[in-house]
Amino acid sequence: MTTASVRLGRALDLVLPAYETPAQVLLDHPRARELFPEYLAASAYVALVMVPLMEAALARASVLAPSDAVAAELVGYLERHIPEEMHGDEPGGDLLEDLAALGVDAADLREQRLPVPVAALIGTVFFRIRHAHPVSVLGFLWLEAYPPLRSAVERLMEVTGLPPEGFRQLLEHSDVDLRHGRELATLYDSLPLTPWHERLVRLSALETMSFMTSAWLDVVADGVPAAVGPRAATPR
Amino acid sequence: MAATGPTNEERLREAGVIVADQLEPTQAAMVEGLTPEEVEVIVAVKKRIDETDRVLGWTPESGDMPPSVRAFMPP
Repeated sequence: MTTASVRLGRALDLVLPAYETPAQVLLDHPRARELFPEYLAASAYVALVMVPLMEAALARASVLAPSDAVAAELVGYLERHIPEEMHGDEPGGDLLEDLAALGVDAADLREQRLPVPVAALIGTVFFRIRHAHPVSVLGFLWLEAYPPLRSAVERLMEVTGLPPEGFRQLLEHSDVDLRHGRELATLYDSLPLTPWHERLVRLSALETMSFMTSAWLDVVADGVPAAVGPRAATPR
Repeated sequence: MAATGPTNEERLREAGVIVADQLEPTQAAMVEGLTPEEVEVIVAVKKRIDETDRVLGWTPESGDMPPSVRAFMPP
């Protein structure tokens, strides 16, 4: 009998090669130094909304908990996990400091248009939490099961020659998320899930990886259709 | 009798998502359990990768697979 987390992992294996592609393209890109801050900025939106989305899921799960066993279990997990994901006085604040070290203005990041796939991701996750079931947030959080590899981050530092201060959160998460991913799988396997819950989480996870892949490709493969902004193609 | 469309495995093979000659029984069962919209998500992102490959002339999927890197995603 397979566990829910194993079943989810098998489905996500279908998109994992695509999910890894933007990072691999970046590592081999002649303009990696120029593109990496923008790539990381796309990631930063997720870091900034991760806690607010978990808080939305917690609020919804708390409402449902008296008559919903999955929601009830989710409440305890989110109450424990939200403080762990603060990463700064403001949720995601530490990553903004890393971006500042790379020359990205946090005020600009807050005010400018969000990358379209990132906006779609945030809206989709929030909608499902509110209108389907808060367990769908686990599909979004499943990114934690695929932390950056430390060796790849170190190679990126070498390739770009950018200040080490810009890589602190990537390096920290290359270790931390091994634990977070395991905790998430343990929680997922402990929930009294129905096939409906599993489908909801699976779709959310597939969409999360797909949206982020698109957002990063818009940066590293500029000029490819669906890119945001009028950048010129840079064939290699 | 109503005509049936391609199976999930056939759709994913056509898109190049599945390249193995034969799936393990557990993988085959998982694939056929995917909903049409899930298959759509998987195929769409693969098409985007293929388009990137066409424009850039290289992605990891087009040549020798480099070491796994995951993604540079802090959360």
